Amino acid sequence: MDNMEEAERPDERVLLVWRLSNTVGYGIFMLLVGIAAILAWFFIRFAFLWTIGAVATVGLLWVLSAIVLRKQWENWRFRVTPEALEMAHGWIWRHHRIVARDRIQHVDINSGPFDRRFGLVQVVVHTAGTTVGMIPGLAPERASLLRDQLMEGRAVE
Amino acid sequence: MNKLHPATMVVAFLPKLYDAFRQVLPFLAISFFSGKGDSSELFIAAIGVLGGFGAIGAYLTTRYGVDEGNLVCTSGWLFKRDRRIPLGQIQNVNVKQGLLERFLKVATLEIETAAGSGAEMKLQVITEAAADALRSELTANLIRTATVVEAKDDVVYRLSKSDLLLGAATENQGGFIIFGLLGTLGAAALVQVGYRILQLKEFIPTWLAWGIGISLALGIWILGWIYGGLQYWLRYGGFTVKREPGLFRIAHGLLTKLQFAVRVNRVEIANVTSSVWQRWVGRCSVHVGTAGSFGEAGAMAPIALMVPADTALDSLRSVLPDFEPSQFEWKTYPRYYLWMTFVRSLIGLAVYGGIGAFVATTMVRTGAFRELPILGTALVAVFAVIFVFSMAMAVVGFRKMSYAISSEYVAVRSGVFRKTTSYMPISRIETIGTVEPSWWRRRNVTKATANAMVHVIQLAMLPSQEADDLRRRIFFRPKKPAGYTLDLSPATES
Repeated sequence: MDNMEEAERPDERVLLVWRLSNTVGYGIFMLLVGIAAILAWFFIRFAFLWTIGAVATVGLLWVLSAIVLRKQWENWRFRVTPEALEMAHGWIWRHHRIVARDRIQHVDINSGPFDRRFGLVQVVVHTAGTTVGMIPGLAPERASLLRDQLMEGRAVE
Repeated sequence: MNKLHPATMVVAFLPKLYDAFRQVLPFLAISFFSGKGDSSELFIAAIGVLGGFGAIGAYLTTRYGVDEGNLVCTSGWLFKRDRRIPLGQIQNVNVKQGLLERFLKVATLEIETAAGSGAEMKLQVITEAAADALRSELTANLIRTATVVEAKDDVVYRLSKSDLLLGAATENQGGFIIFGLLGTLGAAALVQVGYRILQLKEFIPTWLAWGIGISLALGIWILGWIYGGLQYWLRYGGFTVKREPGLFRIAHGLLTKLQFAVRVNRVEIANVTSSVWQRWVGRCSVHVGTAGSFGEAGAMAPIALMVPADTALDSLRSVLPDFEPSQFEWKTYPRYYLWMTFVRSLIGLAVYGGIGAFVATTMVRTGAFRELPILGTALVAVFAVIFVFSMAMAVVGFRKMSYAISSEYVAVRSGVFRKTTSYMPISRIETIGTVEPSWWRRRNVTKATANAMVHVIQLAMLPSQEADDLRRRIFFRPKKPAGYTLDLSPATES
């Protein structure tokens, strides 16, 4: 959007978190595909080429997702203005969300096992109605600063 | 602290029994028709009935009351629960009375806060007198927080018998309701009937078979109409709107009686809806949504039913701040949206067509179905019909869609048969989100979603510039008014 380009970005290390959890996800997927292929091989003499094809497709998706993740990180922006919190992310599908600060009900700071591995946390913002957004990949100090900032409520009364 | 009414044991137990019966029904039907039943369904039923004994426990252990500015409800025996709701946080207090409850002179009280959807606390069941007393105690607190203009308590609108009948006849869900009612078993029976008609083709002329089929469909539709009308009649019979300072008190229902209050300064969204038939007779209905959910009435509560369009606008003026219909400049979405709809339905059809073709060829290859030509023709015919229908609906639907963004409101309008217009005050919007794929971005259009509490308004496609303006408007919107002045004079007795 207009001048979101200069806005703040999540820490680059979040890319490692994303890639790691992505790898675990694909690893499990690959394992399942492998087991299915072996079973198919044993019981119904499934064509060998199909097995190779399935594994190769999963591998290709994995490589592709690595590129997509990088692009997604490059496009992640957030900023806090006196009246609102703005978040923008996405590469092909671009999302932009603006939250009125006087409507923010509570702010959570979460961190998963991968986040902790790289010393990062994520900030989740809620209004009375819904969960409005999650800002990933923040250093803990930055996150608590952001939380305090958001919990002040609307700066202009 | 007060106890629940002993009728709790009956009122809470019977629905459980009914649920258990309904769950077992398909199994019973299967074993009845196949003639090979066993007693396993009885076990399933027994488990369901066991759940009903919770009702006795609930009666014995539940205590409720108002204590130090909190509404307190404790329950449980092994696992104790103590729930406290600050009186100031209470959004809605709904009184619900089913047929059985009315017979026993008891009621269920549902207390709602802004959080989540549905009742935060449910007192099932207490005496009518206790429900009334508690409700007035709780809502007295609501009134204190609202701006009091003048203290009056009178009926401002009552749905007349003729309007109720008109509503019942025009609020038609037609065949949908009856199909939903029939469920899977009924659908299977219908297929059987269709199959029998096909078999009869050798004995009766084709036109008669078609005639029977069409009249059967028509009959089901008419049955659905009658059923839908009856439901409307029972649900909205005795619809009255009472005015009290800062809130509307609404009651409706012939069998199950519902009563709830709409706080005027908590209205987040208002919908004006009308079906095809209602537009013929020039009537529409107004529903409003607040932070709570109005119990059984759903997320939206009716405030005016079957009223002429100008009365509907008057009732909107009385619940929405600075609402002026003339300020809206209705615009249609960019034409590009129509093309996108076409492309989307083409892709969908291609995917389904591909799957269909794959299944058909597999069936032929494996010998499950030998008559590929017939199957192929049928598939092509079905696809042609779906294609033409979806394209036509896309065009017609597109022409009926429009939006308006004024300095105070976001409004959208859509619907071919059932037309809905939604208004959301900008002062109520919590968050606005936009999303657009790269090919939309190249054309400078985006999809925008505005949220206020649980309510959502979606602008399917609008120029990015307008989305930016809308966002900027939340930045610099006027301060949230503490309460709106109530002007209910236009609401008429019909």
